[in-house]
Amino acid sequence: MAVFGGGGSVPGNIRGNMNLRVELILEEEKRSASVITFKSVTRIAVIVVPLILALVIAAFAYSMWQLNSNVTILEGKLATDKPRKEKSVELQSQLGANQQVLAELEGWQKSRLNVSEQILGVQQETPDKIQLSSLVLSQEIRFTNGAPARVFGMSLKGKAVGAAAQTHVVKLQSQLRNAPVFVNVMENTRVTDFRSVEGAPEANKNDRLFQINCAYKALLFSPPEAPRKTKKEKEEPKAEE
Amino acid sequence: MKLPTDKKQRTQVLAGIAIGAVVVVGAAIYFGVLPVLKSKKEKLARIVELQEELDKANIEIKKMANVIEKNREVLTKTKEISDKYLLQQVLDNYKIPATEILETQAKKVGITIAVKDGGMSDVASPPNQKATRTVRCYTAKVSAECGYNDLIKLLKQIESINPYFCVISVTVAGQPLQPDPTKQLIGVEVQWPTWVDPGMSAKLDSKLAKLNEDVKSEAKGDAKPAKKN
Repeated sequence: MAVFGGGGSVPGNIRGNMNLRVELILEEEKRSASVITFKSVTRIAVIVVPLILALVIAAFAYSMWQLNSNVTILEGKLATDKPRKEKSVELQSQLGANQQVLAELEGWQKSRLNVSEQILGVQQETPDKIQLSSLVLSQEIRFTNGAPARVFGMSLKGKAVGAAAQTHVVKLQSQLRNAPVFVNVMENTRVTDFRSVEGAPEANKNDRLFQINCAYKALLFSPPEAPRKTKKEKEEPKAEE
Repeated sequence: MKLPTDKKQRTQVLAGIAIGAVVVVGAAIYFGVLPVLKSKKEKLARIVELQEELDKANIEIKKMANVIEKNREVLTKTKEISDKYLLQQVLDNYKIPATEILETQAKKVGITIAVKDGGMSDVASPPNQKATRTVRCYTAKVSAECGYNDLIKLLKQIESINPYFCVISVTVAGQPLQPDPTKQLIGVEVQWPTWVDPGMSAKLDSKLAKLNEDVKSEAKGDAKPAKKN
């Protein structure tokens, strides 16, 4: 018990009011009048912090569950679509192979020379003063830029009669190059033999035996392959786009 | 629990509590939070990867209908050419059908011909390449005694019925002791394309049948509603 007063003894001759305050509570037992105390904050924190932690953990767990769920859905979808994708890729590969077969087949048609037309053309373009004794047309396979092609050759032998024998032969040679039936298919024509007829009678002394060889343009089975682009060349158009 | 009244002891206790709390929190982060974050990162990466694969798959699947149709066109055309224009074996023999075709056409133009076997041959590949060929050719050798005009008619007749048939050689020689111009010696070599694999025609049928099945299964696949997971 603390006693608080004026202090000391009271002189007998002075009388007045003296207030006394008696403190019955020890210093350490005193309570603070403030609302926010360490204890109250601690109590609140003990409840609120775990609550916040629990919410954060729950939100995190939910997001993880969603992720797992998305992965499962996508994997399921891929399991369904993957076989179809592989089927599509396989069909594209088959299409390439099938197109190659068809191209090879069509090459036989493209490389064909219309021989009946050529033989008829020889008949039509041969001047009256020329008598053919033989006609040989033949074919060989050659390679042009790595692509196979038919190359035809024709050899005509005959006799040109009269004083203008040479003129007739030259005319035939020219027609075999420039007549409509030959102009698109013939590469060149050459007179490889031109001589007098041995033992010919006087009346036929101007007659000449001749041979004309004709070379046709190559007829490709298929177009030659385009040169393969390097990686840089493939990337350049993409950069330009 | 009351803190000790002694200041020094109180400080020590508080320090101990703080260190303990740091250790606990650190352990919780290292063993609990970090692995979970790592797992989340992996899952996100996996989702991106799966989505990319699905996008690629969708691109290929969208092409499928078009590819099937093109395949069908190509195979149908190939089959048509095969059935109409390629020489088919008869009793493992190509000379038999070739002779029949040539003699029929020769009869139409009034010529008698003789047909000999010229054998099978391949279109060669360049020396540094080895191409796989599906088509080879059969050659027939025809000989006749006829005039130049008859020869033209015969060649025209044969070439008109088959655009894949090719005359590769013609020899016309007058006979010195035979003044008749309708009796010239004619030699002709003709070629038909034919399959390297004699069973190719049947394979084409089977490929077309399989394509039709693919079309049906693709149509069923489009008609099915999407499954819910």
